[in-house]
Amino acid sequence: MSAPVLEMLLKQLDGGNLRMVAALAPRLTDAERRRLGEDLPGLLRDVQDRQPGFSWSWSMERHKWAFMAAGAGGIGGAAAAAAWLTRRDLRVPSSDGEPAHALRVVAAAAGRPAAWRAEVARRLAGRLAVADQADPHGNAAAWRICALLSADAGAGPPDDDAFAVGWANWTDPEELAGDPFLGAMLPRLFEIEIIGRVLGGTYQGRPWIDALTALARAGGIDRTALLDGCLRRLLRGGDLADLRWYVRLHEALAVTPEEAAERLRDYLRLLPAAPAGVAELALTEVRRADRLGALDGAAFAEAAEALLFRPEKKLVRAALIWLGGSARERSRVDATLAALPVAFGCEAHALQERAVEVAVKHAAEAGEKARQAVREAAAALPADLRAWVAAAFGDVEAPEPAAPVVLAPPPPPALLPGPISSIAELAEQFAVLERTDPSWQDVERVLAGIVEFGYRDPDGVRAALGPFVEDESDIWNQPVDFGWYFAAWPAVWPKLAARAIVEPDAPFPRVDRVTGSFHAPLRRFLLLRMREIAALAGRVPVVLGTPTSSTGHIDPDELVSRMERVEAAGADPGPFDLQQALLRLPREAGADAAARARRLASPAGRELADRLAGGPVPDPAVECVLLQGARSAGDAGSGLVATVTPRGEVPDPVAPLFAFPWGSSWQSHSEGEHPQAAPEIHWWPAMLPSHTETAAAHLLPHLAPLVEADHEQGAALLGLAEADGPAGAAAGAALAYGLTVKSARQRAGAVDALLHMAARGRLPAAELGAAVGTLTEHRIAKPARVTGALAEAAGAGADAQVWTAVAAALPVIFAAIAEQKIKPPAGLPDLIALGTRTAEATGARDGVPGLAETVGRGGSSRLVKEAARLYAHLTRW
Amino acid sequence: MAGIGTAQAYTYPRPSGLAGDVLGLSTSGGTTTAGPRDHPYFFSGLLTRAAPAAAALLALADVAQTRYHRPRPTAFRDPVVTCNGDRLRLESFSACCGVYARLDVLEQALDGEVHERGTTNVDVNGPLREALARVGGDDPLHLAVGAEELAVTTLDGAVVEKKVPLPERWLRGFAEVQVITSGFDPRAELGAAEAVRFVRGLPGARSPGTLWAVPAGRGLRVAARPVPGAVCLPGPGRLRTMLPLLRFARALRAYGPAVRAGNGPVASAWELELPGMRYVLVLSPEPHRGFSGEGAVLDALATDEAADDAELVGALLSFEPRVEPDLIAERAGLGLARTRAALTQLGTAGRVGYDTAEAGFFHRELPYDAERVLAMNPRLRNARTLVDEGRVTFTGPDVAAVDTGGRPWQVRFAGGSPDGTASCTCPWWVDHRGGRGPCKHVLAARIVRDAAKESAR
Repeated sequence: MSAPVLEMLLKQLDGGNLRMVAALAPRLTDAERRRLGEDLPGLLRDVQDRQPGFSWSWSMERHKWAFMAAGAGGIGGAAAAAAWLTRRDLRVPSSDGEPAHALRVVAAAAGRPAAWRAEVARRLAGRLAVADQADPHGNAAAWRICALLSADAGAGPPDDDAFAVGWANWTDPEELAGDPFLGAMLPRLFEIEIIGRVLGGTYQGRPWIDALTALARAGGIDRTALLDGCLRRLLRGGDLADLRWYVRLHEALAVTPEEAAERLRDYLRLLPAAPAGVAELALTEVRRADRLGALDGAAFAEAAEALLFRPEKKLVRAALIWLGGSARERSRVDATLAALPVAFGCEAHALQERAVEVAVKHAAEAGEKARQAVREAAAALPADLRAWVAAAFGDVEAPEPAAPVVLAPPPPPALLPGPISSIAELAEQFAVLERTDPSWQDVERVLAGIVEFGYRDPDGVRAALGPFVEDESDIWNQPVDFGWYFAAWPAVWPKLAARAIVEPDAPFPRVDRVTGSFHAPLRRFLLLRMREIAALAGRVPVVLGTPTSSTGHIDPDELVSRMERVEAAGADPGPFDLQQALLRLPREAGADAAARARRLASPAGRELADRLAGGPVPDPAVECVLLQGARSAGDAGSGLVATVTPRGEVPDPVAPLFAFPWGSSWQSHSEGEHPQAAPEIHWWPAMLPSHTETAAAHLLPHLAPLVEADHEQGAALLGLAEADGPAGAAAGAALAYGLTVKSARQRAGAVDALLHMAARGRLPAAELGAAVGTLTEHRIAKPARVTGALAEAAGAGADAQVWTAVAAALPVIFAAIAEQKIKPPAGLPDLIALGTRTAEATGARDGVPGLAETVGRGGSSRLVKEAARLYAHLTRW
Repeated sequence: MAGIGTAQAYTYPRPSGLAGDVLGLSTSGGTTTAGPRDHPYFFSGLLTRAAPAAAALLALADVAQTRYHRPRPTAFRDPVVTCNGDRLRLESFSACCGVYARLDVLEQALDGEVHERGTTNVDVNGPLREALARVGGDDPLHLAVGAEELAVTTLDGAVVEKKVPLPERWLRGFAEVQVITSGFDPRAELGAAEAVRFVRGLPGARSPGTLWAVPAGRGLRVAARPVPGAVCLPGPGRLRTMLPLLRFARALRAYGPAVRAGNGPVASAWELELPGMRYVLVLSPEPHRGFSGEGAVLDALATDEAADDAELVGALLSFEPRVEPDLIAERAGLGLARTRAALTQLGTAGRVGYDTAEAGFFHRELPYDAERVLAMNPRLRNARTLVDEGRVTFTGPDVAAVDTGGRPWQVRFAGGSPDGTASCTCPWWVDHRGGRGPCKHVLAARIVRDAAKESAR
């Protein structure tokens, strides 16, 4: 007598022998089966305890399969069996052996009633997840067991979506002909949203398409079912990524004109709103049906209007070719002319021109009603096209000249919240700093509050802020790289200041170095002032340099009052804070403040009085320099930077701000240390609110490496726009960088800044244009982005400024093309077209060097056409 | 948060779909003027503008199916339809709860018979989408919302049962949107051509964060910062469902709260006027924020003042397209101010909606057990727990400490005004700074303060 079956099975299970477990399981007696089912969880736990890596180690895969087989053979309830087979810790990665293993698991259940097996399959299907089954690394084993159990039990396939997705994912298309579920699953391929991505995943979905079309040819499946399925799925819509496989299948089916004509309505309805790739397919079929004469008047009008309204230029152009080529042949000149006005409304001049060309071509054959419709619609066209239409169709009424768009006045600077008014509010704002990425306004305000209350009521501050600083004291005792610290965590300064009040005797951190200070003297100045404020907290009654306006300016009267308090307290203000306060004075200080300041007695007070009487630090000379360490666009070693040379005397602590680069020249550094993008550039303009051009010079080396990054460039440029003082080449170059930034949000910020400066009458438009030209020449600026941004500005009323900028940019670009430094960049024709539009709007006629030569190149490229249009406008008298 | 999800089961007598040239929208349980109905029958007749109506229904279905924040495929969620007599309103939320969409089909686009007024769900499914996509040109389209009792009962077999796990946040969203949008004013109106240009020019689906729409020339311009008169454009990719409707557009209107320079992100409403219809999208202040957590209803919920009035006013509503506060005030015998307060209270329960185009409330009864859900508002529940456990101590007239174990949080009432804004030092408050309503500590402090005032009186 051999050993009982169960005993043998358990031994094989322990060794992970799937084949033997599967062979033995059907031979179990009912009692043995029950025992196996009851013992399985414990047995699995034992193996897992022995093998710590059981659930993830691939070497345990055999054991997992064996346990699944044991479950299929032993577990009593169908629900429990399905749960067992989908246990997370029995999940096996998909592998070549998986179909064979799954067969054995199903074989293990051979002794169970068919109804039970069918029920397990049904419940298994319910446990599959759509997203998992669509994943190439999903649970193929569970799906396969489910499929085999269903087939084996003679049940139809489960109707869960996840099962169908699994079928698409795990079925080998080469074996499709013999697939038991093919008939049931085929319609599902066109119903479930995610399946298109699954089928299109491997080799662009070719194997599936080949298999399906081969089967259709052999008569195994109905070809029209495939075609109609495609159309149904395309009509349901979705992203092109969801639909691409169906577009390919549709293509492979090679629709006949008759089939296209039968399904004309469906194709028509795909034209207006389907993704471009799908609409192109539909246009092809509509044209095919059209050649059979299947389009009646209404269908033609629907198709033409839908296509000409599409946002994609490619589709509009294709539609115009179709319309222009078929009007006579299909005798529908009037219907064609009735549809064309939709394309007159396009934004692109080239498409409007195309549409006019088609209209003019058919003018002679048009009926009076159609001619009149074209004349009316042509009123909205640009002048040159209007004239063309008028020549062929008779007089076109010029539109009422629209009221010119005027620049909105610059919005007033944002109000700064008043000083912190209580220790409770201070605690609250401190909590905000801890958790957020604070703005400079927040940090300044909290620092001012700590100093103010730390002097008036140190015990109160100790009680309120103690909990915030106590738990982190050990991090202060190491040398600090201030540059890095600041970048990562601007809240460190208020923390240090609070700590100076809470624990006055604690050691103050040593400044070790300031990363990147060669390129960022403003950062160095900012950090030294912050450190100074923190160190003086509790010993001075007030911070001098806290701004009173969001531009960074300080009200002179307020500053004199602060200085009076410092003097009354007999305190010494820190030198950096004093200099920051002086830099933040408006360029024109009132006489009252100057008179009050004359009564100040301390050295600092006298410096303030002198400044109020004598005006700001004289504007330094700022000159743009092109660095050509150029290796690639956006490389930090290349681009436009600026040299700042002081004029007149500059106090020591701020000397490096007005002599930049400090003690050196750009040339000697272009191959050396490259600037790292400073994270706090949007703090800088408010540090030099009366010296726009100097602030711009400091920003430039940091804008170059950020062209492709989303990094608060917009806020930095807005700061420049709100500042005072002359704005020239450096400010223009900074704006040019902003207009070519990749991030739409930052670019919008640059447009805000441009408009703000334009509205204040201080936009260096020509310098901006010249910088756009230079940056385009060196492949840093992308004309397509710049044009979009400038067009926004023109639409908001800055036509004149935009024309000045375009007129300054084009000569540089034309020269670079003529000298064969660059090929004509993408987007250049649009930049020229914008120039034409703004020149027309402002009546400008100034010459553009290089334009005539570009026109003279001849040919029919868009570049030459747009150049010729601009030339025609500029030379028309 | 286990147990918060409510499995809401819908039973439809048959799937919605196109039979012949009749678009049949199947209804599940709902409330009508005559009380609860299993399958209310609202309308039968002609949609006079079939193509835009079908396209707008598809757009609404797209919103319901999209998760704008961290996209992944989701199942259809069935819109809520309200028949207000002269119009049909279909409402839905995106799966992420950050976009509210409503399609108002107005009198001019309907030619038929209103059988009943009320609110219910309608079934949306794949074949229906396909059928809607096939509508176009000048084809006439018959519409039936619901069906006659007889027709329903004689059908056999084709019953559709959907069990959609409906998070409570979906329901809370209805209440929040109503409270938030009722504070909006019209900010911009664009003609058809400008609307097309503006919507097509918006940055794509890879949403670049918060932008602002500011008036520029004849249209709107996308700006990076707010100025007075700007409308917030949080996650502009969320207006994408308007793209297929642009060909029918007659105007685009934008609504929002008043903003000033330096404003943080706020919600905004975008209304596309179609022939005889309006398609409205309301965007939450940031793509990752669902309307459910905006907390705009919490202050009203924390006080029980208007509850009795609300009950009285609620009984007087009968699915009017416009709720006229003065009429209601007269019928209820309440003053106008109390009636308005009562309407706000009803809004917090999702029982009235707000139509920005008409600047007025409309009546609907959500086909869900909304009262219970709102009473379970987690922030309010937590605040009441804090009060019950005595964790709130006032350390000054306007400052309270709330002890939750660690560092005590400090709640401060600004300016000492009774309804003045309050702030807190807890991380949640710091993250939102009032932008999402009060935190539980502020709510708890307010409850304690109000109770103290009450007993002092």
